[in-house]
Amino acid sequence: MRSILLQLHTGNPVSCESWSNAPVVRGVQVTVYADSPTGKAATLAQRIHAALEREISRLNTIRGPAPCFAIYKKIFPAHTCAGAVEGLAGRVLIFVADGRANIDPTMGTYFSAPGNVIIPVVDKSIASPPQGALPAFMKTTLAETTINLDPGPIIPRLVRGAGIIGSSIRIFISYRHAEAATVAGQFFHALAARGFEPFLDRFNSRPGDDFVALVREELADKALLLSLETPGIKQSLYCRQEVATAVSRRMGLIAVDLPNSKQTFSVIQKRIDATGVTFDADGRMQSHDLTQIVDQIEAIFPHEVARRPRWQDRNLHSALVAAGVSFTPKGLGRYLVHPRRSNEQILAMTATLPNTNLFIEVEDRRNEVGSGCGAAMFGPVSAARSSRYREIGWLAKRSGVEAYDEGRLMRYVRRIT
Amino acid sequence: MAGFLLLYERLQTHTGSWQPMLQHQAVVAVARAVLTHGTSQAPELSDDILFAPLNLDILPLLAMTASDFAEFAEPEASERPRTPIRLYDDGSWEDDREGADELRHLLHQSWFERLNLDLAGTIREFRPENGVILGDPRQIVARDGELLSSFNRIVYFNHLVTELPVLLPVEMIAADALLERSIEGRISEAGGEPAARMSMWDAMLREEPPPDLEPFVRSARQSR
Repeated sequence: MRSILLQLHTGNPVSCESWSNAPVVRGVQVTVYADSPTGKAATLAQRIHAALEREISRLNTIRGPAPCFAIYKKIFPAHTCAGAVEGLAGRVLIFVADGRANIDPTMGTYFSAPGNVIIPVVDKSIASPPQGALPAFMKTTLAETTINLDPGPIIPRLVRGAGIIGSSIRIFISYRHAEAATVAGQFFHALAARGFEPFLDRFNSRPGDDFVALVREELADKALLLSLETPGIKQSLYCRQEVATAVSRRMGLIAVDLPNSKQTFSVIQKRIDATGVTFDADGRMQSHDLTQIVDQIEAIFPHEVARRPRWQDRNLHSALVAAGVSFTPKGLGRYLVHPRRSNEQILAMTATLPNTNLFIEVEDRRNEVGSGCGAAMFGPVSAARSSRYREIGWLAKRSGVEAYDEGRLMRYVRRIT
Repeated sequence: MAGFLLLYERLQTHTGSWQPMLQHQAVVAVARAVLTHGTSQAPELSDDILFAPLNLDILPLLAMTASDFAEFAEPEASERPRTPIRLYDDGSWEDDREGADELRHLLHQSWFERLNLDLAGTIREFRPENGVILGDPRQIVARDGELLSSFNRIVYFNHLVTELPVLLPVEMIAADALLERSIEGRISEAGGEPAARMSMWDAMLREEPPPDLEPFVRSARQSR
């Protein structure tokens, strides 16, 4: 089950809703908790909950009522969900501290079990340093800090900390070695500290190799390309190819204009002006400058990485409409197609190279429809080389879910209709 | 077999505009459409000939596309298929000498055949029937003028036009309107726009405030 149960508990259960087709690897319960129904902590919890709703709805999901509400017309406390809700494997508690270090003991026991994720949030007006405002079993967990009860700056970290968009946090850092190797290393560590998975290129100018295929494979499982623009970046074969590949694939794109940047890649729309930053003798950027830039990257990130899934969804939708075939939307980039002359088909798009979880998800969707239903998925399959390609082929054979490069989508739709 | 010649000029836009990205995406889409065999089930090189400018702005995009159609001949093929793309000189390569040694790797001979002809020479020598404007038609007309009259038809993109398209004495086709017309035709045949005909993305936008969309996407959504 790829879905999220999002709950708000302020003294009592206040709301619970399910989000299906979510970019999580398993069903996960996310509970935003404040111990009391009133006060600053309750306000902050409500704001966090509302912000999470907005973020989740923009990513990859369909909103629905909580399973218990659909059956009983009421919601139950979060600690009753395990076992009662089918397919729920993960538990995340976002604990908003009110300064008393209290938590309902049942909830505490439920969420403190091994394997669960606890993210404490403490506003500076409630406690500083934050650890003193946390219940005993959370004392060793690092807390997120807010100012003036504004959760905005920490929402991206909460989303990632909860395992949501787990597959969409990979950032490829594109830079020219001769000019920005030190700064690229700084960005690598700063982004990793915020919960992203940054990647620096593994290859350093290997002109004898097929650089086009290398770059294509390197970017096939990344969500966003971060270009560190220096004056001489236009001379880098690899940087040019990396940006071109990201553009053609509609990946997220952000450019950081470092001092004397010529904005070589005008094709990148989202740009962060860092032309005024200074470097020390070792070529290192000041830490407060770095923090400000990473803050901006974090703020832009969700919209940028949403570009590719939404483009893929439109692509598939347009192909089906143009082919004149009947279909039912099942999720972002997921459609059940009803061809006139052949069996029903589940068609799915994948933004990155298909992995085991995706095959399981599409297979489940196909099995829900019933026997005779076919399934196929489309993504950057041609970018996979050697072992990855064999792995995809093996999974396709075992699951009966065909996997094709997205360039073959129109052709496939025409064939089945 | 038909000849398609790409006419490119970097768009003059303000920083932060979406149009350069849309322009580059159009380059890839057009190159793939011309090079792909229309009726074969597997990706296969078409019989059509694609001419493109030797311009560093778009060369990486063309290299990536061409490699899709060249790699099936490697590494041990007994014969090399024809080179997917022929390059004519638009003058920009010589103007852009920085890093020329490294960037020369983009000109791999299995992807590109360099004609050593300028635009006029290429048109005179090969007589391509179709011109594809990948940019603002006004800019291209101002640059190439009379040469455009030698094409039977000119394809352009509505979403790259910054001002009203100029009228040329040849057939003008807006490529991005073709799919939209096909979709509208199918929707009319189906008798309107039932809920199931809405994409998931559009359905999501109904419930939440829309995020910052690319203009191309936004205009398509508003046209419904």
